[in-house]
Amino acid sequence: MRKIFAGLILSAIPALGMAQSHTTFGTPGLVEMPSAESAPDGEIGTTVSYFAGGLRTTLSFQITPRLSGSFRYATIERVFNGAPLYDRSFDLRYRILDEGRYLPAVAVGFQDIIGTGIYAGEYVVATKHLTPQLAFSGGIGWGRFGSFNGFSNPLGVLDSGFNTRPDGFTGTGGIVEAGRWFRGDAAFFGGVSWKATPKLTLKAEYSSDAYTREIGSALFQRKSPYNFGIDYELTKGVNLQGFYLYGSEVGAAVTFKLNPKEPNIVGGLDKAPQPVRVRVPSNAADLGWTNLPNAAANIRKATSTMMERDGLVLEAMSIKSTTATVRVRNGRYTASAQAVGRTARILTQVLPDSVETFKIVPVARGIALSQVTLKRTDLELLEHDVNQSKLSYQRANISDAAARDSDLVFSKGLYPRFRWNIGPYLSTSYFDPDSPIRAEVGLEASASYNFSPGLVLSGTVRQRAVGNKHTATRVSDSTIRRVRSDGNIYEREGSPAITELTLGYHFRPGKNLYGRVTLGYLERMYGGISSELLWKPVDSPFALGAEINYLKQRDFNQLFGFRDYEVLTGHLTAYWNMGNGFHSEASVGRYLGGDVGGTLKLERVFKNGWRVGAYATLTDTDFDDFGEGSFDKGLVFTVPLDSFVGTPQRKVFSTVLQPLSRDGGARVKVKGRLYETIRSNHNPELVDSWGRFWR
Amino acid sequence: MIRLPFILLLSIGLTLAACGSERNSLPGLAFGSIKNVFSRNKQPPLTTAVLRSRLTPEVRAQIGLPVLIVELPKQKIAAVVIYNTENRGHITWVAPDGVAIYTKSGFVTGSRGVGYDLMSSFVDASLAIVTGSGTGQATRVQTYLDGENQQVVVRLDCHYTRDGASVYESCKAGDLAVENQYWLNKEGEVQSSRQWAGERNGYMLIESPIFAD
Repeated sequence: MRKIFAGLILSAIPALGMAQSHTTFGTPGLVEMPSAESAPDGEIGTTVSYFAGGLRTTLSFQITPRLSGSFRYATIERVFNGAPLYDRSFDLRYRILDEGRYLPAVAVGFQDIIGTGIYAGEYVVATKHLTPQLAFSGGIGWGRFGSFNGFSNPLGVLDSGFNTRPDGFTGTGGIVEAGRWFRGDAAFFGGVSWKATPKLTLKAEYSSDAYTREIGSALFQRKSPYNFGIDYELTKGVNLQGFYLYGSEVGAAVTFKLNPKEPNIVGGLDKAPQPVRVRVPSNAADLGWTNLPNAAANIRKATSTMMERDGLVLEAMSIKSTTATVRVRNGRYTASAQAVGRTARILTQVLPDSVETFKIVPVARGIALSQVTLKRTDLELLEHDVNQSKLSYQRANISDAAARDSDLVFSKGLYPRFRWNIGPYLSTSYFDPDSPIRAEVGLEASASYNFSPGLVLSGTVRQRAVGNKHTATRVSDSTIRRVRSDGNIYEREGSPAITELTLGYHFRPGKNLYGRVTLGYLERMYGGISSELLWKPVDSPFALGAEINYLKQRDFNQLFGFRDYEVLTGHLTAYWNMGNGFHSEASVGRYLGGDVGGTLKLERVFKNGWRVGAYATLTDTDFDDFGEGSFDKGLVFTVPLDSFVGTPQRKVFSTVLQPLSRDGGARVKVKGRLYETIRSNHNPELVDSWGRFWR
Repeated sequence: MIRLPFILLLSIGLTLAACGSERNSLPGLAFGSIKNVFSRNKQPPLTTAVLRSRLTPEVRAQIGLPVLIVELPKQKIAAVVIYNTENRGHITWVAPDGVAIYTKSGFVTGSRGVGYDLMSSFVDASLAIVTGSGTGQATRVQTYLDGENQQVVVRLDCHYTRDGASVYESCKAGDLAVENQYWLNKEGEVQSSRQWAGERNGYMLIESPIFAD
């Protein structure tokens, strides 16, 4: 250690932002020991590592430039009384100090903070680059990181309670075990990493992890505390690693890195928009066109045709001598501002010169989401202005769109309209100990009938073809009403299954208000009636929602019958876009099992549509009754597919990763929930996407 | 989660395999771009010279409008773009495949449909020097989008030197140093040029072709 510290003092080279290597635990660091480095802000890294019977899959997310979190799913052979152990763990780490000219970066980490604590350990670690390629790390660890060559806890000076580390975990696990932190023996660890070439990094370390449990199960022999690793960047975002560990084992790891801030094609590959047609000034007062027969009908037709080419649907239009209003369905662009901007430019092409005011109303599920009022003169002035983005936003007026223009003429063929679709589907599930990833592919047929704006009858039938989701045989050990944990029976029995059959109505009860009523087979496990009211001013970061559902549990075969369970559920939810890239949601109410409580969800939201977050639900269901994990929690991901393919499209991949899906704190799934329907067309998300107005 | 990228790709593939009453649910181009991720284009790259030779009198008569030849040597792509419209001195040139280039008196002021597009520019000060004395200093501004669709402003501080009919524009913006060049015609207008079009796309060669016939 003395050498390391001497190095730190001698060094005069400030830290550079560099890609860092990952440990077998999937966190930035050496071979097994952490360093004080952080991943680039927003990076999502998945590391799969294996050595000596231990397979770890770790998902790490750099939540802020300093704070990162990890979720790990590990399988360790034999350690659970001779049987394999399946373990989920969560980590948090925070970089307290940035690397400076003389000072090292310093980070504090908490590994496996929730539940059984197989991997639990805390550390404070410092890292200093001597050259941009050569970095030394050294730290002190507790728990797992203090288990080899440890000494009595220096924190014992403060309080003798620090001298012993409590064993085991509370109740049924799944809760934060802060009582263990920084307790028991401590030990030093450290090492060095050398970036030999831009793609190749060599690492050596002294590990303070004794692997007591694994060695007790004779998984391997720990002959030495020294570990060595080699990290090779196969291609941008994919790293392969090989290790020689503890004088006896070899290991390997692969890391996939993805940064939501770095889409495949920055700015997208969208085809060029229509240019702005500049008017001849003397024509602006010419109203002769208003006397032409069919003028309005011809303009509507031309608008609709041009919008269709841009992936937009003209739902309705009104044309007056100086003002035009258009209702637009956006089927293509993730950024709502882009749909508005393209519509505006199309209007300059088709509308007579006297029309100066454009009112563009984005529509989804039949309801008007907001109204963007633009001056045609501004479009002409700003098309090539270097400050086009900022100025066009300043000059736009964004307002509520509840009041319907009585002169709106709806496009032909939209109401009523029948639609159908047949195609394959893919469905996955995670964390079943018998098979941690299960998947199924099959055929899905869906159809819908739109009666009028907002009113739609829709249904979906699925028939699986191949997969192993339905072969899950674990019987739920839940001691409370099985409102969710019979999922595998639904998988097995539902073939074919009616996954949804509903009559839905979306409407605007008034200014700032949005309403929804959905009746029928809402999802695979529940049917009934669901209704919702949302208050959301167009410019507000806040929204309030109320939802009430009367539900019956569906038959396992997912046809038309119901099981003998009815429940009234409902929630009050407050939504808050906190700015700085964070969004929170707090709900209180009654859940599927009749349990009462609340849910808190926090997400990092990226301005290009990516979201990564976590939620937790606490209800009056006892931790013991809930079972393993104690309460419901999970990770949520929303991934816009346009960031992979480059071409514009609104499809998103959304998933909830629940380490354990049980019966407490569960909610019904309903299509077309209001907040999700409107959020991208309201501020702050609308202004956040304004960079694409001129795209 | 191990397989998130694969599952994503698979679900894109599955979406594309669907059929139904709505054709516009996914643009057809998406599949092309997925293919592009995996396979390299086998055709020899187009260049300004190749395109110039293809602009025969018959072809030009068919087009019937002014054209530019635009090449991105770093991306190994080139295209003929056709005059579409003009707004306040900025001409919009378009190619049938959805690419648009904006120019002002031969200065590139924007692009669309290329990827990593130049969103907007301020070139007036540079333009005055290049088509005027050919020497001096000026600031040229370019804006791009970042990965979160936020505007990134690149302020290029440039100085100019003249060498016969060509003007060199040497610009710096932080660590970035670029060397643009303009070739002027007898009237002192920009006939062809090499201009910086962003980190990813590199230089853009723009030529307003002159034909002997």
